[in-house]
Amino acid sequence: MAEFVLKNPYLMIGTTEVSEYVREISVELSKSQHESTASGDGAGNFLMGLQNNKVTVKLKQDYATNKIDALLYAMWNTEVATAINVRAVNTTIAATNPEYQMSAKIPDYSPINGAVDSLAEVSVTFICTTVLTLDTTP
Amino acid sequence: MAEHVIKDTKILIGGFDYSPGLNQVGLTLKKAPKPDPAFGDGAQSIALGLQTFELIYSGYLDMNANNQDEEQTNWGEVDTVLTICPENVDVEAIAYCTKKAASETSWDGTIGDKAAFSGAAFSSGQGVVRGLVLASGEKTTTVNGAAVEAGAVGATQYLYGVLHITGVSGTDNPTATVKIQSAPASNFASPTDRIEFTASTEVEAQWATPVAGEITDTFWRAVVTISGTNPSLTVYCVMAIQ
Repeated sequence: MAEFVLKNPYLMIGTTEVSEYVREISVELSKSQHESTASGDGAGNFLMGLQNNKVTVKLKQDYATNKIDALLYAMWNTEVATAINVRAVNTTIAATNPEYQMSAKIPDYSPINGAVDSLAEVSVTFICTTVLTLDTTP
Repeated sequence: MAEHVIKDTKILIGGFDYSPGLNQVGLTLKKAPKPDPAFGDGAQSIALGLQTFELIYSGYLDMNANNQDEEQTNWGEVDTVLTICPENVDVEAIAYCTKKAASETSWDGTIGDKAAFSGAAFSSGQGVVRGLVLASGEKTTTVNGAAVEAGAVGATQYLYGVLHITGVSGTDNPTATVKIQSAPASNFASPTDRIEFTASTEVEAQWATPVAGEITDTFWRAVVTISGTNPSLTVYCVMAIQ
């Protein structure tokens, strides 16, 4: 896959695919950094610690049964780490279209946030609590 | 329901309907993340702490409206019952309920502009519950509400009931007595009373004592009994299982 315009990313929350609701999505992979620069180093030296990954999405809100509001409120209320799977393109998993797989919790949730005559949307950040799996197997 | 434009959000605070004067609302539910990694973990894990919420709302200043006059007078009150229906307040619509404290309220404006009103509320020890509307709107006669299939109450769950009376008119002590019933079937052939609110004769809100599960019935309704002469009471009743 070469450069492309983000048109149809894939997002699964638990066992429910919610790709059709995605308006913005961001996958951020990070690790804590611990400086270990010492005598003799020619440059700053850092060791990588635990993963601190997160997925941030903006979704169209839907209050219907088992849709966005129900899924996110259940995650927030039960505090159960839930599977989050993301692909850049909603097609088969491949080396060129890997799926980012993790479990996550949501500390904050806004069931409604907007002005009259605006599209009902919800922004949420999934804080990942497990090591990322990058699945490239179709 | 599906994707939609925000039009008919209902904000009820302590029996007052704030919605007509507001044009913006934000409800954020929060739990403080507490990192709890241990040896052997490959990723930072978190536990979630106590829940809080923050409600912000704004609109147009109207000191003749009961709600904003009440807000200006009683800001800072605690344990005021709060209900937000994000999409609409029809029977079976989603409703978030809790109790608020530490309100902030203000109004301001520039000469020549519409005077603006805004407020904020924060949690006061009561967790948020997410439920369904069982009764909505003006009632002039006794009515059995429509059956709503909200599911059973599990053994570790509670049934919550919230009531707002936002308008009362009539003579001879117009009263609304509201109860929440359950039944195993939608025809309510053999209903069971689960929550009965105190009879209401004025604008007010009530948070019923939660009822512990297990309740195997899956159908629910509100029964609104109206008395008085030419009575008219505006009733909003919400149930939640959590």
